[in-house]
Amino acid sequence: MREITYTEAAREALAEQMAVDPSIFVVGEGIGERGGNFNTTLGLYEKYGPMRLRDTPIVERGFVGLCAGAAMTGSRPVVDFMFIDFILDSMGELLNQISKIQYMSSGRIKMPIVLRGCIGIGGAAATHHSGSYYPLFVHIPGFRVATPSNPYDAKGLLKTALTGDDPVLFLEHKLLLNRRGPVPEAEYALPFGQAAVIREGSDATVVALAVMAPKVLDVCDELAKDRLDIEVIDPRTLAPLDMATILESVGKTGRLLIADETFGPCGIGAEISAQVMEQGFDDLDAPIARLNGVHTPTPYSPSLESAIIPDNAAIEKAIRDLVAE
Amino acid sequence: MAIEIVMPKLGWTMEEGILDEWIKRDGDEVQPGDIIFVVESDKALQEIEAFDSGILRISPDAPPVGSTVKIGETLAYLVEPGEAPPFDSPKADEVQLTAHSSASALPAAAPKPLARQRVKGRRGRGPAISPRARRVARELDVNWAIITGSGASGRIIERDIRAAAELAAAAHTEINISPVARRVAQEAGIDPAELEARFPGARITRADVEKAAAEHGTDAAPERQPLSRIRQLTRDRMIQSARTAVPVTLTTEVDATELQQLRRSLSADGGEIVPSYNDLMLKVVAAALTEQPMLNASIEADELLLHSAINIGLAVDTERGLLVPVIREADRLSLLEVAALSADVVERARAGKIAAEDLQGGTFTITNLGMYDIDAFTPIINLPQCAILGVGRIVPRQIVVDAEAQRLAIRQMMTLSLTFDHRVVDGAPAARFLQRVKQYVETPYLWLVN
Repeated sequence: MREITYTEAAREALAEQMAVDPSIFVVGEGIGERGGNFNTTLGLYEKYGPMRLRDTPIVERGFVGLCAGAAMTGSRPVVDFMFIDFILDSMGELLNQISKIQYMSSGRIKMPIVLRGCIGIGGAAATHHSGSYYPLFVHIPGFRVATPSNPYDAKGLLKTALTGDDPVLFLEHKLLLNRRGPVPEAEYALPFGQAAVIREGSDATVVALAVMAPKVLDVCDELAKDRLDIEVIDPRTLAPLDMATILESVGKTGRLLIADETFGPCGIGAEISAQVMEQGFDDLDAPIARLNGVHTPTPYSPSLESAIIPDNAAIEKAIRDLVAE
Repeated sequence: MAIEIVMPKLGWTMEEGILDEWIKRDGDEVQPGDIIFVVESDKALQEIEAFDSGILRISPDAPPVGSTVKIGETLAYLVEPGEAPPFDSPKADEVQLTAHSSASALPAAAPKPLARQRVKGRRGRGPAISPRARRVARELDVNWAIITGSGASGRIIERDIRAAAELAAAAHTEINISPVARRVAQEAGIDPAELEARFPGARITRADVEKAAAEHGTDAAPERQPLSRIRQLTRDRMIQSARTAVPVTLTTEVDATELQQLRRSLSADGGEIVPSYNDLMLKVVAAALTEQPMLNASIEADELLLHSAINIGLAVDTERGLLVPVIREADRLSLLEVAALSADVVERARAGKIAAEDLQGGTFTITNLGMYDIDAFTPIINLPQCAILGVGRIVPRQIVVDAEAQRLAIRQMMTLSLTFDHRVVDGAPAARFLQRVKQYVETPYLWLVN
């Protein structure tokens, strides 16, 4: 199978859907002629022009509100925030209108809007360009949240995002963008709410989010040399969250670690942990463990930056400690 | 303010120590520099000095002498004269408990420890157990209250329950044995399960037991002794060496006549210190190591560490087990300095008085079995060192000294066994090293001039 990068895979999904659905348009800063800060729209401006690839001034609340109206009246806006940190300036529109309008209209009004941007820590981008924020959106009813960890998932999940009726946060970790992976040329889409068991094992379960998925896989390959047989699950979407797959795995292994680069408090690990406690308590052979980045604004200094994210050694220690519990 | 006295960390690898002896007693006055107690760790006894002054107070609940104590754990306190030690002030729980039990003396607004007590009570009810283990125990009908957990914190986990269930199943299997046979087997100290394995299927009779007993002979159960700390460490290090190093042993026969002559001359001179053969070999090896630094190296991850200091360990057999005191920078010491130092550490090693640092930091080891009439052997490398030299006995042999003239002579011969770690160094440099050692033994003037 051909191998393409994560960004190419996501761009392919967008291009394919723009070709078949004329109601799709993209707004954002530098997504027109420039092709997007992260090349998310590279080459599309030449094809579809400024009506469908519309550069905006730096007014997130304004253009998000505009897109909300467009979505309500039958279009499919894609808001490309570049760094997802910038979405924070449009929280009023997001939380009060975009997430609620389908409920408020008894389903008569749809909200097919895709909110995409880069998440995560890396490349000394400092604290205004290093956020992940997905727990905020998972907390609010009405949003779908996708965190693909590889090119195949990126394309398949964006396809689903661009064909559904709900507001979707499509979050691309910046350290994954240039990673290559197999992507079939044939048409496919990945349903939301289906986790992937990306490695099978019996000694412990690790739920690995976004960039942690490839890191955890690397560590597990090393641990396999010591006969530690770890199962790794990538939830792929955090809302909806596929708890059934996680619970089934914990039923097998009895041990669970949630590896998530972003902050621990009130995070996805806390949520998964609570649900396993509620639904799988009698399967647990050890306390559930979490591995998170340090709860702090992201430092600019590269050495400090790398010190606040769990590296492979930290992942290995967390898994070994969990198995030894 | 009371000052805590804790189990000190006396070496990088130390995790716990044995409280060997209190030198000061409860109530004694202590000055900085006074020896307070003695700790046994990593094969050595170490006297621990006070850093502060005060009155030593040892709690009745403190770890008893002879017990193994984790580093950092409190052993005692130093308090000001007249100050009560922390363990004298009753703990909050105890106050509440007392108040509770003497209802008549209970003040109206007594604290309500109910919630806390419930938590404590729940903890106190039995060992901690994981939910999964509890579920499996229910399924397999195992009484987990009597099981010891193998989880990191002593928690009972699933595998403990499954092991207990298997054990119970094995124990419950009826063995088909006649009552008389069972009694005879018991008297002879033979496990009926063993008989069952020998005579599967059939009912075990008295004749079977007697037959088995006859074969057993006087084969009573072995005496069981707990491994000493030194034995445990030796076991662990030997296993580690066997699993990690890639040992190759080279042996060579050397003519030690000159070396023997050197020692005799020094002895005849009536000097206060006469170097032993070990001291001579230590200098020989140190001199050869300065020329072959690869044999003084070790591997750490993907790096080779070439040690600048030549620190030679000397394997010493003691009542407490094998100890390897280290002579530091042996290449920079004179022969007599080496002799004086080694006499001191060997004596302290044998007396169990050696300090932990005297056993650390070796970069090469010498082991001598010559006194037991051993010639060649394959010593185990003392990781992370690269090599170890086994020294054999010195014995007179008839050898060819001049093949052309067909001349024989009786010379004092010695066999050397060099075991090296092929991960660190290849065969040729190791052989060159051993060859140099041979030259230095045969011609001691070569290194004595330095």
